[in-house]
Amino acid sequence: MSLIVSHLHKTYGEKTVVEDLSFEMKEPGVYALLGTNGAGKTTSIRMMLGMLAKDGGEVLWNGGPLQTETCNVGYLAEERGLYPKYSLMDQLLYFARLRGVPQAEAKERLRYWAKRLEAEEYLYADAARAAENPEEESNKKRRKKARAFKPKLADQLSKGNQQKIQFMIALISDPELIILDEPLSGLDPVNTDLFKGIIRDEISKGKYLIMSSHQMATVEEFCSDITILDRSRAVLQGNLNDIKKSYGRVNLHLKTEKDAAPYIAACGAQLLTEKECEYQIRVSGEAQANQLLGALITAGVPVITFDLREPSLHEIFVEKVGDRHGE
Amino acid sequence: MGNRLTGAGMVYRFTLQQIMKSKSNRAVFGILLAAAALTIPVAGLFLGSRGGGEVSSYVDVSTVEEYLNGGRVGFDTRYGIQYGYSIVAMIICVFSVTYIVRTIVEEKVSRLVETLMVSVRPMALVLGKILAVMTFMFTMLLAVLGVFALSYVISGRLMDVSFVSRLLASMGISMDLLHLGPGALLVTLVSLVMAYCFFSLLAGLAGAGCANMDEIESANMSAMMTILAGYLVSCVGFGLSGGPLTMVLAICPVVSAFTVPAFYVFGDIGMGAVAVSWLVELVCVLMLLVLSARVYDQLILYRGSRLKFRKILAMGKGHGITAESTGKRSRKGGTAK
Repeated sequence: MSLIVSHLHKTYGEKTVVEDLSFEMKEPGVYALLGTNGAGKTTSIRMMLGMLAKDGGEVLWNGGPLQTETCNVGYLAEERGLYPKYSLMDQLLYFARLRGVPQAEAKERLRYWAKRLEAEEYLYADAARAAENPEEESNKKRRKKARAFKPKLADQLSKGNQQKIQFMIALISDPELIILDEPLSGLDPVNTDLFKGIIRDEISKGKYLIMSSHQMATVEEFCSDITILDRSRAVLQGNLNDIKKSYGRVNLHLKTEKDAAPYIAACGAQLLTEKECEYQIRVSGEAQANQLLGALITAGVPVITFDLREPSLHEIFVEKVGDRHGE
Repeated sequence: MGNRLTGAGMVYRFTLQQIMKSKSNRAVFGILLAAAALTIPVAGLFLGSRGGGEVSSYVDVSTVEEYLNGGRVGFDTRYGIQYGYSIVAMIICVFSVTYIVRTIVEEKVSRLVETLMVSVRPMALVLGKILAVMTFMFTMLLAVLGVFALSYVISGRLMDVSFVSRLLASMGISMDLLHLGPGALLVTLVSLVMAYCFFSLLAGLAGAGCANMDEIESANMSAMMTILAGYLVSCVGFGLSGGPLTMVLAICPVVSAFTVPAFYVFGDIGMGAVAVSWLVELVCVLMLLVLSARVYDQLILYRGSRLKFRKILAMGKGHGITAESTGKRSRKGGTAK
């Protein structure tokens, strides 16, 4: 299987919102679409899924045009919502049926995902009862409560819990291609880890994932290949490791027991931040870093941490996009 | 077109399921059925044994010419029947249109549309809803008529219900003069369905052009004004009709739904004219369908200020949502993300 996005193009009147976007996923993994607000990420995803008409280009899945009727796609939209006044279970079963999952199978899968996402109490009477600490209750009381269980409506849930339901909708059909637009935005740390665990599982199952996010650390954690979009154009593309290698190891994290600032200045490195003998330094390369280390040892400055790294994705992103915005 | 309608069946089932689950909808249905079931027996308790003169609530004033002509339905009778029918038709259309606009805007505002569009095309989304609301409304209408008829038959075995025929006769409504029967029922139902389809598609477009709940009212208003225009023209025109005006009122798309069944019942037009009227209405419905198919994909993801029908028509002619055609919001950068 493979996904090929080739020369996607979209304009609104005279305004170009996606210009000649191309990328390819030859094997399962995670591809990141990054960019500033309004860079064209969501429009690109909508064109890929056929929601928006393309002004140019094509999207191929296994050699043929990507169609949601033939490719099992799971999509978590950036603009996501639920019917506020319909029961959650009705909505989940509806979306499952729309994705072609038979009712009995959908119910089984929903049980699994509800448990996995810790959302059972909003969907099932027994779980709702358990959540209210039923150990002290008599069987009669439990039965009465089960009968009185009213299915939750979307507007009775917190934003994070609504997001769990939306995530279930995206995964209910066990999709082969999963598109997640800002999947972790607005989640607390506990739920972020819950979602990350599921994303990891999906990757290990050999799924194709496309992720759009502003959270660079998350993208670095999961993605192998990236495209950075800025003002409708791809400004950087490729394998994340290769991109990082091309920048070289220029980020130095230094921690000493004595003041090292004079030695940093002496070797010509750029001091970025300093806090209680802990420094973030930009060096020109390994030679300059070694020169600094030598100077510190010669001067008898005890070195606690000396960590020379490639730039982070965050730094690369800011450099690429920030440069253009500064123009 | 087939591809555009994938999933419409599931949207239809889900929407109908939710309509039926709504307590207020069930309450309205129940109240109407109860009213239909109880009208005859309750009225029978009070009017069943009295003479025809006492139940007369109607005085037909006729000209000498009308009196001498005889055998023709009087003006007031005609007007009364037309008025009664067109009010029922208007209520059905207004309720349906309001419901359709609200569900479409709610779906857009709740930001569910994008998730839905992975599985179902926008046209299927709106058609599923329209058909579900139609099923509910017409089931309700037929159930009310059925229960009323059943109640009449059952009540007739238990009590004197002759007051019904006396009342109708005193109003000048006679089976001999009116073309009542299965044909009239068919003409009425088909005309209502046609009108429903026309106004619902219009409502679908008006709803899709909205971006927030505040705009529901104005979207509703534009669809309802069209219905009201048809209703008022039919009421005024019916009084003046005769000759070519009758044909105009029977063929004009927005008006015909309110006039054709009454014209047919009074024998003003035959099945041929009814068929022509349906054909014109069908062409209009198909044109609206084609317009919807062309613009709905763009409208459903549109987030700018409410689109007027003129702009929706321009989109149908191939002018997409552009900075020029979407107003203030788009001039600031369009709807793209």
